[in-house]
Amino acid sequence: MAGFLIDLTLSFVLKPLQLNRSWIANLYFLVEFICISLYLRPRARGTANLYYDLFWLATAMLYTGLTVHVSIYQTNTLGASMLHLVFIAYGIWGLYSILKDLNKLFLDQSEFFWACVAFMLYFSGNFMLLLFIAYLKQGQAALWIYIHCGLNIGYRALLALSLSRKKP
Amino acid sequence: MDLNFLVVVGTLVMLALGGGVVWFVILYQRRVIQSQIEIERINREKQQELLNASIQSEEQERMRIAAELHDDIAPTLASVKLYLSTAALKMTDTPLIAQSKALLDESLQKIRNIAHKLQPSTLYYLGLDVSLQALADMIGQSDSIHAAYAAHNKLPRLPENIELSLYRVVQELTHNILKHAHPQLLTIESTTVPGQVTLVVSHNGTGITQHLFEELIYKKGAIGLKNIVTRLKSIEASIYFEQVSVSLFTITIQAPIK
Repeated sequence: MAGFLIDLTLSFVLKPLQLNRSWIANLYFLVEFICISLYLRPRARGTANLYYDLFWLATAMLYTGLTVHVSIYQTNTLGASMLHLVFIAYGIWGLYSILKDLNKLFLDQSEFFWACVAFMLYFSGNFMLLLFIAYLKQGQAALWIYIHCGLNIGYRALLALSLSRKKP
Repeated sequence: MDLNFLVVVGTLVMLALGGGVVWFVILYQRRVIQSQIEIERINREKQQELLNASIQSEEQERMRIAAELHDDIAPTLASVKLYLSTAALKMTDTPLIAQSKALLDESLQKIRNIAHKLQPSTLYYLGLDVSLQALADMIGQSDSIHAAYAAHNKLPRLPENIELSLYRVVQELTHNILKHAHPQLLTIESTTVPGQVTLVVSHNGTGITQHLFEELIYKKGAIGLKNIVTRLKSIEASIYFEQVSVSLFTITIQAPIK
């Protein structure tokens, strides 16, 4: 939902008004990170819960610090790349926890499995784009839009699939 | 190298790596679950073997006791009867001897009945059809109940364990019906279709429904019902208790024939 609202804001409010959009992208990365971290939080049990909280809070603060340090009106690609690596690690950790539990007979019925697949695929693909973002933004916007939109559509579709598997 | 190409290939490689991890998880999970299913199957087979072994040993014990009764105790009592007959010719108190002979006759008959129940020789030599007929005839000997057996089509000879289990289950059911339901009418019916044999025991006494049966088998006691379940499980058969009308209860047993 947050992604959808931000995409709407970026495309229909900020872009036509020629306003700076980097600050909202920076904010989006942070909000997405916090949401996903909180979504995965129940998987960290016992003492791991404390370390997990410390980890994601420290990462969020580091990202915020980096963004403020560079400028909030400039896309924090370094911070975003760091968050993408963390998201990939989250995906691997989530899938590992599914293997460890082994209480799911049919993976395709698991909401958590599809969410992890979405994180793994989207952030793996997007990570590469972030590394080349400076090049892509300089005259290669079409390539950026095609690949990024393709990944984004796949990501949202997988998240929707995950949501459809959620038991009431 | 063209940087655009590098971006596309790099993204695809990263996607493939991510997809690879997901694929590995799916394959690994499937393999682990398959091995779990295999372990469960082996466990089930072992349980089935144990079940069969316990039923077999119970049957062997019954046969041994039946043989002892029939071949040892019954001839001894028959000899005693013969001696009493000889003594009767020499003694004057014949009413006492006559009474003793009558009691001996009764004991001999009881021993024969017990031996027959323990080891139904008709089942081994003539099959389920004849044995069920004999069982119905034996029940019908009582004046208080009318019992009958009807075969919709002649039962073929079945594997020994299936015949024995079905016979024992019907024997237990009829015993329970006579003891608890107090019916005036009892019928045993059999039907066979390729791959399956169906036996229906119906009566007009105070019967039980499937719901009550399932409650009873989980309660303490009810050894007879538990034995029925064990025997049916050993031949992968099913049982269903039903109240057809106010005064008609049926018990349907369906057993697969391999």
